[in-house]
Amino acid sequence: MVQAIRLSELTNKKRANDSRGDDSESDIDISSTDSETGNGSDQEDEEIVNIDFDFFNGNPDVDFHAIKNLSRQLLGQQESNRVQLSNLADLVLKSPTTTIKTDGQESDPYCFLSFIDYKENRESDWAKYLHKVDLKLSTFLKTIENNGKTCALVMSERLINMPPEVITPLYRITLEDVTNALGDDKHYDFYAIVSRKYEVNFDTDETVDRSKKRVKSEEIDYFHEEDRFFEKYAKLHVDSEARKGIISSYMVMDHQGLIKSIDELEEEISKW
Amino acid sequence: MATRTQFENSNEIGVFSKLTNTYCLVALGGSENFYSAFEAELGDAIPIAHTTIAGTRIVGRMTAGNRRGLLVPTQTTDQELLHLRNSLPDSVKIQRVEERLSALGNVICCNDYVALVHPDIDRETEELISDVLGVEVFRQTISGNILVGSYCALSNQGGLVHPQTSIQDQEELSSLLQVPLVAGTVNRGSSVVGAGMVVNDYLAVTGLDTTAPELSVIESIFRLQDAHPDSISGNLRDT
Repeated sequence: MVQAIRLSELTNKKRANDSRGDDSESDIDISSTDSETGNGSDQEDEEIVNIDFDFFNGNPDVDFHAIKNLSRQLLGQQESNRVQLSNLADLVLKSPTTTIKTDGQESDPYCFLSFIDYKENRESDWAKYLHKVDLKLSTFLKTIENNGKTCALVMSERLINMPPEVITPLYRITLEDVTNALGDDKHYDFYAIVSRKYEVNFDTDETVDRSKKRVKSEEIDYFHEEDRFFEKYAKLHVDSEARKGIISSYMVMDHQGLIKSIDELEEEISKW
Repeated sequence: MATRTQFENSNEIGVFSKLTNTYCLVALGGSENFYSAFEAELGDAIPIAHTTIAGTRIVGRMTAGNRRGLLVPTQTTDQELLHLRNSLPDSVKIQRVEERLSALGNVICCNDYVALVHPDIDRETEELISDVLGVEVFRQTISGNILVGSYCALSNQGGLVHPQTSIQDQEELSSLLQVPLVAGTVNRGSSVVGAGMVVNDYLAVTGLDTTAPELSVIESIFRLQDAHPDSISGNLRDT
């Protein structure tokens, strides 16, 4: 059960612990139900909240529901009704997956990254959905089937306030796991990445028919920072239509492109 | 018979439907898969009413009922009430309840003989439940949980309570309800068993994520292995 914890109490306790030289982990549960108490204390004393982000392998016993929910977030309300999310979550947990949790092994992940082998899972509901969703992507996948190259379906999603600094280590760790899983220092030739973007000025209250609005190109920003770099190196890049301001994007990259993007992302973040 | 289905990718079947021995309510807007899970098993045995309650699709959580009656919250519109009256058998009494705790499906857990209710419901509501549903009413919690309708799935044959219920509480409740109880989960580990599934004397419907062990516990506690619509016991039970 989630317990409401007064922020000021917690930091006072932490100060007491620190002075005793204790090494206790911060037990902070920032839940939306105690927003009233939370806001009050936030205004009184602006404390820095320390949160540890721990990386784990995908754990089928603990992570199933959270991965399902994150997948639903990634695909959006409409599209997630066209996919069997339970099958997708099982697929994620069978493949090399890294999750990020803040409350230890038994808590829910707030972020995950998974590399699902395309050929092995060709008959799965997820692979079939990707064929249906876009013609260019489908053509690419069919080419892969015939020419002996390998392709990974990349699934990654996180809570919206996850700091981007975790992305580079997340990718590196998971790529390492993939290499270990494939053996012989091998890596995938191609990566098909599903992601999402949003229209900056979209007003959810406006129910006006979009065709009547002045058709100017909406400013689009990224939910996933790494997409800026992925799009640069992508061999194939398709954006869906905007559904209530949310756009699904599908990118295909080769291995070199992925590595370069991650390196550039790391460089960019180090400058912040 | 225990089947699995989904309502628009949600596994919480008890939220979007209500199943009793004489009728079934389902929410509007579900896919054909959802409706066919009910229609295939219920066939012509009992009517299935597609409806909203107070304009919402959470019909399972807003209403409470058994073979004799159906209780709907204050916010139910007149059209919905009319639609229900037309769809349900004449033997089923339908009553709108003026109750502050309007999510009746969460605060009332009942079968054809007994009802458990939230400790804070009004006296008038308790009397209405007793009259309309023809049951004995007990103000109880399920191991400290006041939302008895959410944490317990109950039929005339047995009951499933949430997994943290202690053995003592299970025994106490079992003697109150006069049916065997088991503590378990539904939908791959969810403890909100009342909202996660629906059950009557011969059919249980749970979410797609329900594991095989969970389903076998459900089949055994609700005695669904060889149950058919005609085999519902219509005899008065010795109370």
